[in-house]
Amino acid sequence: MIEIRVTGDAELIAQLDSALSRAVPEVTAVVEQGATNVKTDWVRAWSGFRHAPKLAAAVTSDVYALPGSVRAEIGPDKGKRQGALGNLVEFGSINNPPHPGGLPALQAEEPRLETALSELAERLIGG
Amino acid sequence: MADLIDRQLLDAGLTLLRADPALVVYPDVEGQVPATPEPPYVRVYGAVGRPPGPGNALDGLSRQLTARWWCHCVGTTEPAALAVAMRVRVALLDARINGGMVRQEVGDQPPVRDETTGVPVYDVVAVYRLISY
Repeated sequence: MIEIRVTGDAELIAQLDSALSRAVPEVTAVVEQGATNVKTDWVRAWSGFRHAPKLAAAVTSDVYALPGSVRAEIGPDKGKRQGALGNLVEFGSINNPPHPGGLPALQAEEPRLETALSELAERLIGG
Repeated sequence: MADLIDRQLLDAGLTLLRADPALVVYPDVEGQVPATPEPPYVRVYGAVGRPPGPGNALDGLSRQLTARWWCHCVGTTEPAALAVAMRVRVALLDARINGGMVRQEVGDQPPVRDETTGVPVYDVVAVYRLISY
């Protein structure tokens, strides 16, 4: 018969509880920074269009902390001037080539966000 | 003038599409796009980038190439445009090019009515991406 004895689990639970309670505000801060980076890149990519000079200013970012998740929404706001052109510019049309701003900005941020979140997780669990 | 490797990557995607005899692909093999093409067809825009990424990490050189194909799948009706989008997906999705696999980056979007050519058509946009080293 094999007997396994686990000790220190109460301390581990306390440490994980503590990490969990600090996670939401800290993850929100990381996601906010990531969203700002994506927005900045996106605005830069769309700045200076002669045919849509206000489009870059229509790019906004919002971060929502929901139960169990943090969500960032970044993109052209259709309620803002020329914001409705966003889809047409990002993906192009049958007559016009795309001028992607969102996709490359997101792709550039992805590894940075991944690193920041994994460093944060290490810090939270490590105490 | 684009790098030869860029041209080859983009052409590889177009060749996969052109392998479907039921699919009319623009630009055609000569790189031409008619002024008023007759649907159904797929109008493809391609670009290759060298973004920072994990593939560049070891020696700092920009070895990672990202090729994208923006596919405008056009039909005279919504179902016709969606049918073109399905053929495009079958041709490109998970295809292997230069050691990488083509992925769908932005899924088929709902058909959008487009009247810019004078004839109303429906356009379904899908974006495919290949990361190659």
